[in-house]
Amino acid sequence: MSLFALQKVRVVRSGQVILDIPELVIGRGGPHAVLGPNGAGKSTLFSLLSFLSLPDAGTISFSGAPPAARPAELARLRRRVVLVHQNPVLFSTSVIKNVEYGLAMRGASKKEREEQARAALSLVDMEDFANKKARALSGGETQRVAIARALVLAPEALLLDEPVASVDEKNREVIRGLLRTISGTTILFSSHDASFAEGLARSFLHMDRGKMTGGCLES
Amino acid sequence: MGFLGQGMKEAVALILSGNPELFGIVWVSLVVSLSSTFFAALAGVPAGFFLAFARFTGKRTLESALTALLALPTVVVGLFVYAFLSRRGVFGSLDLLYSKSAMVIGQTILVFPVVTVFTLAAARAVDDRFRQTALTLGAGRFAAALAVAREARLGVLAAVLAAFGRVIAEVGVSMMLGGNIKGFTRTMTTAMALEYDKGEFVLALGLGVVLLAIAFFTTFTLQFLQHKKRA
Repeated sequence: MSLFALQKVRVVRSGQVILDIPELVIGRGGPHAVLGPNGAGKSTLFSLLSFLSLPDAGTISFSGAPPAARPAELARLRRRVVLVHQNPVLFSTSVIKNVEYGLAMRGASKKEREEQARAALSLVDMEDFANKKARALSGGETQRVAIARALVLAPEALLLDEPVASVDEKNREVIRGLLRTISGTTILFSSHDASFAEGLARSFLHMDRGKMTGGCLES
Repeated sequence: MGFLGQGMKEAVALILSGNPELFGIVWVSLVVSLSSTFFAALAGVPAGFFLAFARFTGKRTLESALTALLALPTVVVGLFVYAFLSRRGVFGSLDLLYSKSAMVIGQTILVFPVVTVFTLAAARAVDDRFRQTALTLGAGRFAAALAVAREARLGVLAAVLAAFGRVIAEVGVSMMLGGNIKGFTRTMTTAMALEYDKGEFVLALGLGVVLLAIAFFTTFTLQFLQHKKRA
């Protein structure tokens, strides 16, 4: 069964169509890669898939459920899909408090939060940074903590917008290795760098100027 | 220069001697200004965040009106509040005129727009990815707004300090609503105006030195916070 199904989706900004997807089905599993140059519409697509914004036309259904439009429905869906932004931001607190944030929003106890956050930090090899100030981290470390902050919530879908766009080679390899090992979550990532996706993604979608130009994410 | 130098010397001596009249006036000023800043922050900070996040008809007009009120002359506020608190006014029966409470009411109205507009600016200056990150991690709209508020806290503190800087140095509201009553509603600015009228420069200069010290402290704190925010 598909995880996302998009029908006649359009996003218009300042009178210009910046995303136009007649039909797109995204299957469970992955990792799936969305490839394209800057301005291809990848971030706009990810914003829609994470239910942070709504299309100006068309529908997006998740896991077979009818398309959502009301704020409460969108809020419920956001608990099942987590987006890690391109150049993610960390809250001005410690690294571990950042990773605990989503768990706190779900009402987890302090003990549960700390245990799970430490385990997630360990996954991205950042457990030694738990009590450090989050804003003092480098770009690559920030990206890894942001991924841990999303992974700890065990979402049905994890969306990573340009996860290696501004990280050094070492962090790039750490993130690549991590994406290979994650299971139980459908991973969808975008990249303008096809070499990062090669050997990592199981399916590809190519985009340019807001339109799909090839590929398929169904399997 | 000799006159000013002599006056300053005597003023500093007056401060160092712990003159009870001078410090009584400073105390009244601080109590009134801190109280009005507190109440303005209590109303203005939530109002600023509400304006930053809520969508409603007339929002732009309200923002423009509040921005225009930043330059509100203190005597105008004094005059309007006087009209409400005087014996013939709507709240005349409360007998608040020429009291610290009246001064606090006037000053709170004076700096409410300052706190609101600066808080709004602080909230807007926070990268929208913070709000989106909170939402994607499962926060509701209110919790996401709190996450943004946390990121904007230095800007909010700067807004409150700017409001304090405005009220501690204002004279119109204090004079018109407090009446400059010795030992009761006499503040640094109203006392300075009175001492000047009397030709008593030493106390006026002494108060001026204290007021300047408070103004410098507030400004330096503001600059420190802005520097920290940029860092």
